[in-house]
Amino acid sequence: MKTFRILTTCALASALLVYSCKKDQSGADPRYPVLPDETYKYDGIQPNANGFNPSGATEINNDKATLGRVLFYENQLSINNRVSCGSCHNQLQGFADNKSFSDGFENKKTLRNTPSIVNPGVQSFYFWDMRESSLSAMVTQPIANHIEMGLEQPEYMIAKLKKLSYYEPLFTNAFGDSEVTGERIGAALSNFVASMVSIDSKYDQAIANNFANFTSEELRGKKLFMEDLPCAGCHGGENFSGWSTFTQNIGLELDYADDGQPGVDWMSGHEQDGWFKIPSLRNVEVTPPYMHDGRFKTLEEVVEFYNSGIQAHDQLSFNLREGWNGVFDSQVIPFIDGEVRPLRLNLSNSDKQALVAFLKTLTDTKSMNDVKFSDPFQHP
Amino acid sequence: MKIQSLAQSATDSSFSEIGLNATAFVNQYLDFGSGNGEFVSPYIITYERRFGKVGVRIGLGMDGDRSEAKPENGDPNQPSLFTSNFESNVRTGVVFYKNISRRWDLKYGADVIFGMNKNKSWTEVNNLFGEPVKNTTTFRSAQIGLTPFVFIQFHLSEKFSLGTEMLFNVIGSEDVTKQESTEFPEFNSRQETTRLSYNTTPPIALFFIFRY
Repeated sequence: MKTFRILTTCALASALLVYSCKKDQSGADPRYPVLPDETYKYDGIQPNANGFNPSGATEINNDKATLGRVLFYENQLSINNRVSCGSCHNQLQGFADNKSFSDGFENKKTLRNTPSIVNPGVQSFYFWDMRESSLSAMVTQPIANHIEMGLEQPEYMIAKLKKLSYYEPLFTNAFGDSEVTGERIGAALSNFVASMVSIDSKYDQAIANNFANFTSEELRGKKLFMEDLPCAGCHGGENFSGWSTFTQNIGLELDYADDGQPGVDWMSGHEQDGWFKIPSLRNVEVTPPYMHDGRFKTLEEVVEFYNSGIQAHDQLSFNLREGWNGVFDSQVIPFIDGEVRPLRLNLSNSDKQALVAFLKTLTDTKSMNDVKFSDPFQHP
Repeated sequence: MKIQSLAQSATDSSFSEIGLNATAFVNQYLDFGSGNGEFVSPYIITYERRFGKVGVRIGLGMDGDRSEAKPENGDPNQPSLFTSNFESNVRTGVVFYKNISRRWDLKYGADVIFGMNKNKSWTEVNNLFGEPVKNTTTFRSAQIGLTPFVFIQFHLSEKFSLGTEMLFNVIGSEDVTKQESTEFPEFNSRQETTRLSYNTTPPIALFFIFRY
């Protein structure tokens, strides 16, 4: 009987302990961020073996990045407190989402696919139509967008943050005083996102040992990508984005519903139609669906499109035209409304699989699993 | 069948027709044209009265829905989203007739159209001080326009037929968007825009028509 009492008491005490622990965790108010006692380290990003440093010219400050992290996941930066940057740029999905078009603050669909955030510090232009060249200006544009977050008045954004007491020490740590300004919000957010780098993929690790860790299929894919096919003509450089300095028409349609970057095509003299930024292929494996409208669900579909589906648009990228050898030749590339012959790669199934295998070597899941990029409002 | 032609020549006497737009109904089961929802004729029911070579017609359309998305645990500190949408359309116009064959009729003419849309979405949530906060976005649009049309009608029998139409829309709209917050009323905003738009409604609507 005595043993029974002791066991019962122990069981009750254990249950009480478990309950009190649970209560502590679930009792944390999700409207307040929880930050570590010691600030996470966002700076000190090291280049890969090819000397590629994805933080670019951005000098990352840990306190600004810490503030940026809270802002990145701050629902109050949307007009109705429903969404944050992190709602569409999901950490576990390579800071993109798995939707063709994302849901804005009223669940209305965005006009274009959410791009992943990967090595933004080395990109020269941002958005699918490359309308912004400054990272710190880019990061606040979705906040003001009428579909995405809806806070069109900058003063409104500032007033909302001023009312949240937890920002006072964060702004003070980052900028020396607690004043909230649009520039500071942009600076903090850009510090945070610039530290989201992909630099430790299987590809990066392979550079130092001459790709000895690659399978034969991955090596075959690398050769196709880098040498045999024109992939690297656009997706060149260590960021696999051609440094994001220009847009291209890749022949998804003959007449695009979305024109992309505005302007005049110098070759045809027509208004640009379907010109979009060349995205980085780093982490491409984890950021489906693909293209500006998320039309392709898998990498295999993307490869098949380049293999056999390119349309003969009169503004088609030179790299995707039959006969293009990198030299301007009016016989091959008609300058005014001539015939356009889209490339047909005629790849074998094994070649297509090899290309996909190589693209998967560009995956670096570190930032996707790193707590310093996680949502501070989501308590464990 | 006694009559030689199910369709009617231009000199035929008067009659009335009622048409029901079945596109939405068909879409439910066949997913036909749902990707082009914005192009489907918004008129649910049309009435047409013919007087010899010319006729008049009127169309009415209405659509609406409501939705709400609340946090799973009902937590008032997490925002609940409510939406409410309502659209109404009226058109009236003149119709001319051209008999093509025994079963086919061609109609053409123009409508004057009027439309009213109201879309509202709002969230309810407690702020950090426990105060209930409501943020509301309201969009109202009033439209008036002229719509030349071509209507093709296939007669199944003397009284029943199927039809579809192609519309060329020239529409002027006056839109008002309001953003209101109970927490930050000083930032409430109201935007008015007027616009003139042109577009084509392809013949993907399907009307079931009864003649009497």
